[in-house]
Amino acid sequence: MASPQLQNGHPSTPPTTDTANKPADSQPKADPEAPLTSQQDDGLSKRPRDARLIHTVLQNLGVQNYQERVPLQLLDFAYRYTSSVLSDSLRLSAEGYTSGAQDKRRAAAGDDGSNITVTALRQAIASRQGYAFEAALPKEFMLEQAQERNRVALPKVERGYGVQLPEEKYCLTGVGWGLKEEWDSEEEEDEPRVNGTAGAAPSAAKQEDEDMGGVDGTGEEEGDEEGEGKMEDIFGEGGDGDEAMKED
Amino acid sequence: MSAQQPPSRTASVGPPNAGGMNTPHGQGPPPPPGPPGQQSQNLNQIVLEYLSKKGYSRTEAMLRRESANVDAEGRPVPSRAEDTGGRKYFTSFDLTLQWIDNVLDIYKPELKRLLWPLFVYSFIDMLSEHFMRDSQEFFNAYRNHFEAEHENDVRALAPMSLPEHVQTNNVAQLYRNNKYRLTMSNMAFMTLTQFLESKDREGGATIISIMSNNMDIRNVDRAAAGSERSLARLLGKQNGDQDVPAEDEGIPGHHPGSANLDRNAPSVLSKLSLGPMPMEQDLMDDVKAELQDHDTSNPPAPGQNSLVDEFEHKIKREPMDDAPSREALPLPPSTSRDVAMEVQKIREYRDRFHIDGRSSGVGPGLSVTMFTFHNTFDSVNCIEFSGDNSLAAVGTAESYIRVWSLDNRPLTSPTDPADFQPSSSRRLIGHAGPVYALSFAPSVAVPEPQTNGHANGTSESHDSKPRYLLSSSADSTIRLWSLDTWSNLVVYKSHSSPVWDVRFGPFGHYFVSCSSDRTARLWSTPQIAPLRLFVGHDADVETVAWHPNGAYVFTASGGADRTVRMWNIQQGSAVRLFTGHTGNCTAIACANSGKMLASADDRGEILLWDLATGRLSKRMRGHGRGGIWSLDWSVESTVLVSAGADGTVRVWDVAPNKDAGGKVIGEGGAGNKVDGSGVSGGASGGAKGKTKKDVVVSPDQISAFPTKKSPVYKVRFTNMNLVVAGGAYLPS
Repeated sequence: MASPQLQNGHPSTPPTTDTANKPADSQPKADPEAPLTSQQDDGLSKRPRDARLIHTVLQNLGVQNYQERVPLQLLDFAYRYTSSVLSDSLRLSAEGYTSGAQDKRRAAAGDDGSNITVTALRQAIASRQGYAFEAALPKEFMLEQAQERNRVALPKVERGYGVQLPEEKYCLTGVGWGLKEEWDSEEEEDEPRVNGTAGAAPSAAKQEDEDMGGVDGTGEEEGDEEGEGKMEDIFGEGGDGDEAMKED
Repeated sequence: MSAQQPPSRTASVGPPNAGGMNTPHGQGPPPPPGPPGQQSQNLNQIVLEYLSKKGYSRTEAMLRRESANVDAEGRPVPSRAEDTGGRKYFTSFDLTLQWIDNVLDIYKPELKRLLWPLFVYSFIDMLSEHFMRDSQEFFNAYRNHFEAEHENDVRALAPMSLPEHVQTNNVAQLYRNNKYRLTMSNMAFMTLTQFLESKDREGGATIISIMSNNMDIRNVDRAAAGSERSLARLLGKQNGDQDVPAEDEGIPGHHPGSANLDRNAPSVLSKLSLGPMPMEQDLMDDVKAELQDHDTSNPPAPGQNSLVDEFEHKIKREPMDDAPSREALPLPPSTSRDVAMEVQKIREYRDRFHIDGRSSGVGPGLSVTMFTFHNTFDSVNCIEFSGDNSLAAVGTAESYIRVWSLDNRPLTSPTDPADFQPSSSRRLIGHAGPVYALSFAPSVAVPEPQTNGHANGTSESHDSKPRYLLSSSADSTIRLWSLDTWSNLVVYKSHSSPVWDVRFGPFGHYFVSCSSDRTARLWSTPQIAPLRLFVGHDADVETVAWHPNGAYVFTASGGADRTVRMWNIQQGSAVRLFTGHTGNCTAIACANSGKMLASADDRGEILLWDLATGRLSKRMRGHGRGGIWSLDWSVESTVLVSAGADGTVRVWDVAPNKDAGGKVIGEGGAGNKVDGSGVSGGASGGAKGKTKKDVVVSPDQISAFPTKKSPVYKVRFTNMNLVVAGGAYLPS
């Protein structure tokens, strides 16, 4: 439980230092002798250039041993980071947000002939900074929030069965309405039941509402306790929702 | 005389004036010796000769003294360490280091604790005073003294090379904005001040200013501080490597255990209600009636208590004043399922395998059932077993959850299509990031009823199976899954970063989660917004645990914080704060008795805390590096099991060490045993060949169960005191 946290947690922190210089490093220094292959590579020296770069960066940070997938993860991150920053800045400069500095220009990767300006690049980086690398909100702010939230007493618990669920609109238990074929196919195999569910569901739900205070999701539990006949109806309805949702 | 004085005065006063501007370059390359310097030197000589010839001895002495601080070139020799710029930190730190090395042995352990804050504050001060090169040199010269204990902090501080970095570096800010608290006995502190005053000019003043600006040094009387600071303890410490921070040392600056961070807070701890949650009256009556039925239908075997007796015994406690009130913590009213579960709990409680700690001389012979997952390709993030031991769930790095039934029963769902062949495992798909933690709703295995006490007995045994599963993920959501339909019911969103851990409360309904956004949050299943925010940690909150009475939660964090905190659910306030870990906390677990807490870190240490007094009970070592990922307590709270990355399950004796005196000395000597030699069968597989050499196992370890290259993700005691562990086989 913890190691994956660390393994997966780390890429979110080290890359900040890593990629901060990584795009800067790797792009201007395209010359092949830059990768510093002199580092001992355990004889596995037929790695791609970027992997060796990562290796040296890691070693520079004092990481001597790492799993094979660490460079891959970092490379993936670096690629995604640079590509998204570039595409953001492409968009930014295309939409004319950064018309100020036209002097320094760099040719884009030849997408549609438009150029990325340095300001656009800066803006794109700054706009990611906000959510990609700032791990937490300031503590003072959170303390205020906590004080406000913690002043409210714990809500009373209403009588119900099984685990209580939030209001139906917040649950994923509803019926997915978006899928026409699903309904059609079911109509073919078993027409009256669909009509039954469509018509009977509200009434059934209403009856349950009285029992359990409008918590529709618990209809499933109730089905268990009330008897077999009704359960299928209810589960049939829920099942459609689930399948629909998966397809969504 | 009046005629002679003016030249002498210019001669002696002149150069210091000129040199005043030179001070920062005191160590720089010497400028070419100028003619004025030569002249003044000669002039001095001449005047001195003249004065002595004339017999103006007092004037001569005055002149000699005033010109003593000037070197051959007429520049002043810095006599005070403060005048040497960045170098003053070198000299003063070196001075202190040397002195502490040579100081009387009984003061050494206490004074050594001073070095780390001195090092950090010197480094930060140097940087912010723009001595960039000196600061790098300083850091590299002395960092090796602290790599062992403060590995993470050293690593965090290492990249700082500009004054701006002080503003942006988390760790540096933490040290800057808070005072480092350190407790010393009176005698040690007096020795220190005497030394610093005597070396005032050679760097003592620098140290004193760091201490007064950035540190909060508390003096305690050695006799009054009890066994922790007793001489015997100190003497015992010096031959072991027991160099660990005291409980109140460090940034939080709190009284041991107290969560009140006010500097002038009284050292009184808030009162806790650690007793079990009182049962609802209705539930208690129902359970009693049910137990009576059981007792009459199958009477207890000879030597066995009747279930009702057992129940009375378990429920009845003399002082009920330490129990939390039910009104403060609204819980759903009990159902027939709760009655069945309570009844079963009592039966298991009576029929369990008793573990009485180590008091009888030999440790209990525990058994561990290990479930190993193969072909996982290291994608397993967490493993969880349900309370009735019928299901095992695995959260993967590939964003899905997979649930197995442990008895190979097919996992069916009423929504399955007619031609669907249910297998013994199911996938739950929904998360958009790696799944970090899982938690089953509480459940107890109720066997098929063999009594006629119940008409609908079958439905009830069916009823007791776990029906809900919570999962937390890197997509910063928590999801509630139904295990009846194997579908996602609710998504709980509020955290702003990956959610590291989520735990159902002991009675269901509530659950608590913790996240990389440095908060922990309390939820209840019917509310989509959190009910409480637990704010206070300065780094990721790595793991959470519940108090068995459901009124408190515990959080532990890693990074620069490394504290364990205890929170009151009702007010959402911190009631205890424990420091002492030297690594990132990776697991915590509260004893079933509600009196003790165990926390473990990724350096392989387990710390036991006494909740009521807020003090450290003991430290236990034995695990290799890489983290202890799971802890659990036996039913009687006499034995702790731990499991972790080193592929072992270890069993620990939790009884506090007897009074410090003799025991600790024994610990430093022959009491220590190295892993593999003292434990029968402890010679583990090749997986930890490296750790075997350097890990010292503390004598509290009862036994160790090694695996073959399988990190153990989860370990838990069942209600009958069987240990269940889960791991994934990872061939390298």
